[in-house]
Amino acid sequence: MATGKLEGAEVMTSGLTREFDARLGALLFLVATLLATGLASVDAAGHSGREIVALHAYGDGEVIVVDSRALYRVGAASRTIEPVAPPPSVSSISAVAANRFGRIYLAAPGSGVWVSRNGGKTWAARNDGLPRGAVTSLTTHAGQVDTVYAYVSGDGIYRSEDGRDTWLLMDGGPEGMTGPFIHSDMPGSMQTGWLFAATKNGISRSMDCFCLWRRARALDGEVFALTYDPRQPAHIYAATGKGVFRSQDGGERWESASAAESRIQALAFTTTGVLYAAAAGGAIYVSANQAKSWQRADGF
Amino acid sequence: MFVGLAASVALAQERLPSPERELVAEGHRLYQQHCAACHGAAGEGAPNWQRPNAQGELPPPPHGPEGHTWRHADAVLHLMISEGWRDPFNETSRLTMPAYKGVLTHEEIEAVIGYLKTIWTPAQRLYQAKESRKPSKEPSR
Repeated sequence: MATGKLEGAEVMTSGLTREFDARLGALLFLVATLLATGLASVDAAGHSGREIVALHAYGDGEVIVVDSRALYRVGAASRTIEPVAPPPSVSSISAVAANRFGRIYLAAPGSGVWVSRNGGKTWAARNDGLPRGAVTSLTTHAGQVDTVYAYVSGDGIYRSEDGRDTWLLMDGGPEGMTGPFIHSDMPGSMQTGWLFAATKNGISRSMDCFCLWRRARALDGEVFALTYDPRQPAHIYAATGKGVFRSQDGGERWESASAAESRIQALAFTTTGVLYAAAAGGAIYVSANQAKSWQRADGF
Repeated sequence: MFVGLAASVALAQERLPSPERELVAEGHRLYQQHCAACHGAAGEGAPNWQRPNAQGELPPPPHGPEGHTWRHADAVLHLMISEGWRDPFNETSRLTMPAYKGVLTHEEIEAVIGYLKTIWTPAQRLYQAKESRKPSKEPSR
């Protein structure tokens, strides 16, 4: 079965490299190989059936792909896929975040938050001050190496910074917060950046001083995923039940981007300008042109 | 509420060493002269400060426990008072928080900040002091 999938992937990519640039072709090869290395078999529609819990940009141009039990580090330039072993005591994963400085954070029911500073080779627990409630989402500060935020549903947003192991409750989060949130170093903050949070009706944003949550305009409906372009921090991408939307001004105005699939549940934008989207059912799509078009990594 | 706040401020001031008490008193005087018209005599802020007004501008926020002044380091507060501020998503381009450089001296701005600290809770003062001790991270303008 694995051989059959790999052969299929090779056939797929040999056709694609005639049509797409080498970098995108490499990405598609990698995600297809990812399927062969560890995910479940595909259904007739080509879906793996494994739910992608999160996607996170990592390091320089890489991405962490997470399902409920495993993590993979995908590096386009180096054409590598590395399974990342979670901490030994972790059997399921509820949230992951990563940053361009090489930090990976993982939240697991029952064991809290873990951090790895070496690509997952070793993990250290980081729970002092976190409540027992489940951490449903994590995000890292765009510019500070060891600053990370955790959302505990029903409780609020916690911050741990500068490598300390302690967490501080910053506030309850915006009204209707559903979980996914990001930190962007978009200019104009009184502090060091902005937080954007998915809610049941659009996106809310706050300067990272947690001074005031305000609803970003004109984006309606529940938001399932969001990300931002690290090269242009005011460019925000959000996935709702109506598709993927793009803002170029920090959420004031939104335009519909092309729809990869009807239900996108994770987004990530790498430092090299590649946008990843994971659909319900496990399909992964990549875009090298700011969501103007998508290419599906076949087999997901 | 204002009587209670005034009593609280007075109590906080009583606990300060004499030079600091004088600084806070001066800061209170300057606040009443330059800030109270917008931020309220007791730092209560403008009504509905959390929503843009008819001009599409965020109104002056409170400076007490219910606001967010306490969340900022001393250097950030000083910069805001000195250089002014506008929320980047205001519909107008003017500084809704005017710049006081040239109106207040450096020491006078410090005095105002010193007064504002007396209207926070002890936990908020502690948090703000920690923020102020961090390496300077200027606002991402």
